[in-house]
Amino acid sequence: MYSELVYPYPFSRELFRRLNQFLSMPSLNETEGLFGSLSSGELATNIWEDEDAFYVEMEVPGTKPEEIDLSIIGTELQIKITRPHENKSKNVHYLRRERTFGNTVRTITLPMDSAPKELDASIESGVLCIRLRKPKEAKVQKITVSPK
Amino acid sequence: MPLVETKNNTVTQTNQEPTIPEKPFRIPAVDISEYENEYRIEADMPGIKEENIDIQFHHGELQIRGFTDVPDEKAQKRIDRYRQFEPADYYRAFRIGESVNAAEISAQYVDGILTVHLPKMEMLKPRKIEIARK
Repeated sequence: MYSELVYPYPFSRELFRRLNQFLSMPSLNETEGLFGSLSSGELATNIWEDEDAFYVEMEVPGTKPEEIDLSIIGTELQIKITRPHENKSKNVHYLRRERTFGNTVRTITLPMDSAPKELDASIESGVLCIRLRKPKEAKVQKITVSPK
Repeated sequence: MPLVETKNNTVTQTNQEPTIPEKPFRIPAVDISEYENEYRIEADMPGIKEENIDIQFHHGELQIRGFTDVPDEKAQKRIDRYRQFEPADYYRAFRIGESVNAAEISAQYVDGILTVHLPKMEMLKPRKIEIARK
């Protein structure tokens, strides 16, 4: 019924995955690079910071806010996600299944000395965004050099 | 031959040829399922806006794509610590058999999941045949 088109690149997904695994940095080798999603079923996460805060972005398509449980343990942020399997009806016949479901726990060690005090989390279009305000000591301090 | 394009849950006619993205793109993970009256494609496309989704059906080929926004000034100042996904456009194409009623294709985007409904042709839908009494 369906056949997938893989052009414009005449390679298979598997080849891309292997090629990316071979070429990419060891710390990021779970990803398939720009040409695909994660192969292990893990939820893709980006961590970045600016002057005021650390940000954790996680792709959680189809997840409702009540299915996400966030906790801070020391300087670790634990994200627990409960995603029930959809469409358990008997009238459905799957031709292809690539999307992942089920429960996931991910722990991220925050690059901070003490537990963050201010945290807010939101979800938009299937992307969970957690903002952790930096404690004062973690912020960039400007030191001016004064002439003698 | 006119092209049938579905956008924002409506079907419009266009003569524009679908193009293949030149930039690197992400292939969304999909589930394809068959129901009594339709086929359904569910694609994980988180992080985009509904108005930036484009679905085109042309010569038996369904193309789905989602465009990411240009990073704002704030995003340019950020320092990446760990990166598992890139803000690249989504693209995936499927060849669809003749059993689909192209004019009735519809789509929804909810919580980062794009669902495309491909209704079966009327003649392929299961139907019950009553035995006529004489």
